[in-house]
Amino acid sequence: MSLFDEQRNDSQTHSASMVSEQSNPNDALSTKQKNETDLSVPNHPIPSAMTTTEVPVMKGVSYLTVFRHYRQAQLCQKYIREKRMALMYHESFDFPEHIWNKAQENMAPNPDGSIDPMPEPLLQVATSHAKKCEKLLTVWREVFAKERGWSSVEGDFKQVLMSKKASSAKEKKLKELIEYDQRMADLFRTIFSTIEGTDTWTPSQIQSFHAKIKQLNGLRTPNPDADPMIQTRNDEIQAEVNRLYQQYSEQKQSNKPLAKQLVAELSALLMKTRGDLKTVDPEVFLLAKAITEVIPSDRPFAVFGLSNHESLSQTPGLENLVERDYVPTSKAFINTIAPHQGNQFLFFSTLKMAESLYYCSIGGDCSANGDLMTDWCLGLSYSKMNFEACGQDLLESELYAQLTTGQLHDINWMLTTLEAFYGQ
Amino acid sequence: MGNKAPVLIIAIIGLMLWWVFSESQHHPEVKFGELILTEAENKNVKTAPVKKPLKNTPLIEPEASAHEPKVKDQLLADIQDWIDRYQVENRLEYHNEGLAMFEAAHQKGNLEAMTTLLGQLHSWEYNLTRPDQHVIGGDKVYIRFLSRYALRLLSCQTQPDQCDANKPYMDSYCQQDSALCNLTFQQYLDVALTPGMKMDVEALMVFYSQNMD
Repeated sequence: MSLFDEQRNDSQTHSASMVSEQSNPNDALSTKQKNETDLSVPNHPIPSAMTTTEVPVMKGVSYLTVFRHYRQAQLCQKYIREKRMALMYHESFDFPEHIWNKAQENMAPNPDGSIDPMPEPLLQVATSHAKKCEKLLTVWREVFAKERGWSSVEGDFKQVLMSKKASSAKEKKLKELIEYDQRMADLFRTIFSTIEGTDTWTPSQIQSFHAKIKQLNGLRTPNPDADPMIQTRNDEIQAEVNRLYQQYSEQKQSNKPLAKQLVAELSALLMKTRGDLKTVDPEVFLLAKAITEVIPSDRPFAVFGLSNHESLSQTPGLENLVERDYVPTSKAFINTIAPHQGNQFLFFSTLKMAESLYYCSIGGDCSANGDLMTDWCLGLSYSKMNFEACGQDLLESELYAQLTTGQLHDINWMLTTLEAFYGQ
Repeated sequence: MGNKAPVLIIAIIGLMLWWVFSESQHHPEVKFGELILTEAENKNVKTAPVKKPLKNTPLIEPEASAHEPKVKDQLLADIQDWIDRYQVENRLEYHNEGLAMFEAAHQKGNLEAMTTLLGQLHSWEYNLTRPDQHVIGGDKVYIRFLSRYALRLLSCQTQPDQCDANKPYMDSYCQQDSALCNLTFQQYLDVALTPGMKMDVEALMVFYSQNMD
């Protein structure tokens, strides 16, 4: 699911809407930054999907430490989800075994139906990851006093990050980007709801509308078979349902000018964040990269390779609202190096490796036990597991060894070009 | 007239003998009275009439070459049968069978068979490798696209019109980007691919064409 889809559907996952001083996006951009980034459109105070009620302060713990808990929680999402599922069904949970069983789904079945033994490097990486996640869950339970809940662990830490004071320059930059990330999500949600419009009907009229729809749906014959009479009747009911939905849609009052202003703010925010890619801090880089790719930042290493999004102006619903278009960084980079390419998929794996190596070059941990290789091995950011990444440094890994001569050639010059592109 | 006939006959026979002799001197490997046959047929022939090879023609007789299309058709028929037998349950077995057929097609230098097989030997759902990945490396998405380019370029070597600018497949590129309009396929690749991609396309072309005439 794309971020845009998530923005449209996220009302279920975010339970509360509350504006706080900390989460107010107006505060996220200082006056100086506004001037620097041509934020000519004033920010509109929109309700954030984040809540800041009852957020533990986590005294005595630095902002950076909380940020790292937050990152670890993102990497542990798969572990936590699967463990919770196992607990719900009263099943025993062995993460390495669980992940190996999942891996079978992407492996062609052996002709005799047998299952190959788990590769030793995968076992080691999965075991180590499980320990880190358990350690994190212990911290989470202590801080948030939660046990076996379904609440989002990374969401809980994010709330602390939104409210906690940042001290060092790095912490301040991280906090700023966390707020931008939240602001981006809030803007998307608000833009789409503004386009969709607000109800002019009274609550009782809306209630009546839903009741009528329910009543009509109840009149349908479930299996009309080949009886043309029943089919005709069902078609009539469907036509009536459609007519009511049309009425419902028409009663909504959308605010296109406001939507346009919000899109302009979003575009400016994305452009401004692109300036942060010149950082030589790998943690800041990952966060800024996620925002500039217009992807959810909850999968730290999904930022390498090509974004799913073409541009703001090509986003369904926003076509006529974009004055200053924004193209995700990876797409913009490809457009720079190969302006007439007709097949962007061809660039994905080479760019993914080049960007990953760039991340290593600015100090990102690309060692065998580092987060990047763990992520690739266990399929934490992407669902696909890469056993070739398990227990190996990036440069010594089979993934790197499998690159073609041409890809190595391209990566070599892409790395230099990326540095210039990010503004270093 | 009647007295001249024997002289003419002798002269014609003499000319024929001289011509046959002189031809045998131009083709010293072809001995007088020798018959060009396949090895199997030669075993059953002890004596045979004179057969003269023509200039600039391959030293393969029609009887022998008649088998070639049949073998080629058989391979394509086997591939079609293999495609029809696709089943998810036996994916590994199926894939391995396809790899073996690709090996056969590659050894024969059969471009058509290789093209068909490579289209099928790509698995989105399973972690199965393509035969060309074993040679030049790369991930399967990258190789899949470059493989298509390499195979088309090879096909265009024998059928140059397949790479013409007016081919329908070029329309989609043109619609995306007007700079790609009216380009031949080769020109398109020159514009669209990075230097490394071009290197890989060439490497794939070398691999596919190893056993081609």
